[in-house]
Amino acid sequence: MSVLKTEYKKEFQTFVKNMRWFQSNYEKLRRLYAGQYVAVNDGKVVTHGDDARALIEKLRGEYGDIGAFVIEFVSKEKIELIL
Amino acid sequence: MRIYGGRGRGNLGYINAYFMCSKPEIHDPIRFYVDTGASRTTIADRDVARLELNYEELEESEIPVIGIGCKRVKNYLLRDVAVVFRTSGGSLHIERLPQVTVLKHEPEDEEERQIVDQLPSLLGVDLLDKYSVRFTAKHVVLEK
Repeated sequence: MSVLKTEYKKEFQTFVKNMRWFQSNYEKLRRLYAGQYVAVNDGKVVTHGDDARALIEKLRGEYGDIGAFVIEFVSKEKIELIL
Repeated sequence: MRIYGGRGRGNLGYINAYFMCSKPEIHDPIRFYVDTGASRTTIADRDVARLELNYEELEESEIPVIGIGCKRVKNYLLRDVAVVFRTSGGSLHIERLPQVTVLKHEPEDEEERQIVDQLPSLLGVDLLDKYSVRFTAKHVVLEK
């Protein structure tokens, strides 16, 4: 039996692809959206904004299932994180 | 078996995973940061919103978590969770965790809320101790 149902596998693949796009375009995104959250899907920024939760709600209203979307913060400056 | 992740904000290592739980029903991808300093695998507040989790439906944990400003953070439990990774060979590998922590920060102001929303979900030692963890210039690698 497969570890994941086909639909979940597809969603996971799209998410990984979106994350790859986000990472490889990060410097460009920083120039355009510094200090904001971006939502990435299908090789583009579908929306952006200052408030992560408002962004998530907006996306959900517009697209329904947003599981494959990457929603990430774009820092103005390089940041050190100590978790 | 190897699982490759990338290097993200602050040069921390992250791994994409597919997260599954039956109660409440969750099946969604999540980006986890690899954190050998975290005792437990943790879902951060922003991912809680993204996954549409309702805290009222979750079991509150009695074990405290210390968060920003050394304050106690309310936390909840998801039980019997599956975390699926893609291996370097292209297959999917499943790890099961008896429980995962779900954070609920209660920010005092807008500035604190902005910070909370930037916190990532974490792969903690409860999962990482099944692997050796190493970093390369561009990747984090889990290996066993």
